[in-house]
Amino acid sequence: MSKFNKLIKDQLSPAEEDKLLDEMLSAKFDAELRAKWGAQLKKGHGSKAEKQKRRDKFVRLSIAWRVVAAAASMAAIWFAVYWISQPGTSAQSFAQNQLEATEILHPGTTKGQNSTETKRALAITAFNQQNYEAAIREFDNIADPTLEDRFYHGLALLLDQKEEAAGNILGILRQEASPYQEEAQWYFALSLVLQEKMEAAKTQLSAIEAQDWKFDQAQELLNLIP
Amino acid sequence: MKENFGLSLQEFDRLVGDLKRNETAFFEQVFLAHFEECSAYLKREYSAKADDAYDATMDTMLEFRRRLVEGKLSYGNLRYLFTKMATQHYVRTQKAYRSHEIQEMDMRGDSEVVDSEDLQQLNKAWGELGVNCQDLLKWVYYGKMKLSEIAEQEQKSAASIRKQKERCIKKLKTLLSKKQSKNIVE
Repeated sequence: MSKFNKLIKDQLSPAEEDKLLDEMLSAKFDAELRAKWGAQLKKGHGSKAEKQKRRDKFVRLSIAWRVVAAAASMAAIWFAVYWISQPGTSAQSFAQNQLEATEILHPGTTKGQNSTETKRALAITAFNQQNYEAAIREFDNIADPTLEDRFYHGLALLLDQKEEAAGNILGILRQEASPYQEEAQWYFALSLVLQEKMEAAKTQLSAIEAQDWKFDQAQELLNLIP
Repeated sequence: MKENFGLSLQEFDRLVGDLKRNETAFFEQVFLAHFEECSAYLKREYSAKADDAYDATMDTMLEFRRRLVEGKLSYGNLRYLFTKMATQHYVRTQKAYRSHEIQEMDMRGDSEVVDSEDLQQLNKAWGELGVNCQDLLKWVYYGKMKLSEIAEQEQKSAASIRKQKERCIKKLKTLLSKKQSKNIVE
């Protein structure tokens, strides 16, 4: 007998009735959430697919452009050989890769109507849309930034290639006892590598201890710094 | 905080409160952002196919929601737990496929899962139930809210909420019966 029939036909005890309703309604709402989340994820994938399409379009150059590209690539190879021979370059690539390897998303904000909350919401939305310039502008406008605001402000600057400004914020944050301390330490070190301040970067990377976040990557990066 | 998806304890409490009231926006904001990462982990570490990794991660999100509203998950290493649960979902499914346990799973599932025909009837009846009853039953059965919590939220007595719940269940059962009678006639 199906649950449905059981619920409407059987003389059930309140506990049995509760159990059946629990199962039926959980199945209903789980199915709804599954569909809703699936659609949201698909939307996310869609935007990635668009990016891929743009990349593919870029790659499909005309023949004439390919000739030009071949010439340019010869020059690029010469430049790369020269560049790689310079100290710190592979460390910078590593640092940049670390920033780009995974999409960094802000976890969200609390609800609220006041202007600080609105600015924060705008900043977070812009951050998660990878519009770091707009995020920086909004974070700048928050009069009384929280630790979280300062951390993501620093990250937005770093991701927008404003390493020095990012370092100014993250460098202070890493010294404050807070839940963001380890993250700030790592990103501060990355900002120094990207500014080619290798000695300072070494000091900061060495300060990341074995139990800290990104210890393995910090050691890897240290090995790359000449 | 990183082990808790960047959530502070306060935010975690808010997330659970939201889920109990069946407000999922905050949960989605946090967990959908982690979806890809978890799915990629299963593909990388267990050579999972994209569809299998997706299913395991989706099942985990639903189970995580359920455990959160049931108060079975506390603030701690949520990220680790999420990934571990997804791994268990994936491994369990694969093991079942490999050892031809699908039939057994289906049989066992018969007592736990609601079949699609029942679900369709339930959806139709639910649509006619009225917003007040829909909210109340969803808070009770899906949000796992206690009647006393609902009473406090609605600024009513627990006794009146209990009566309202009984009325709503009766109404839902009547609607379901009507749907079934109609089905038989058709």
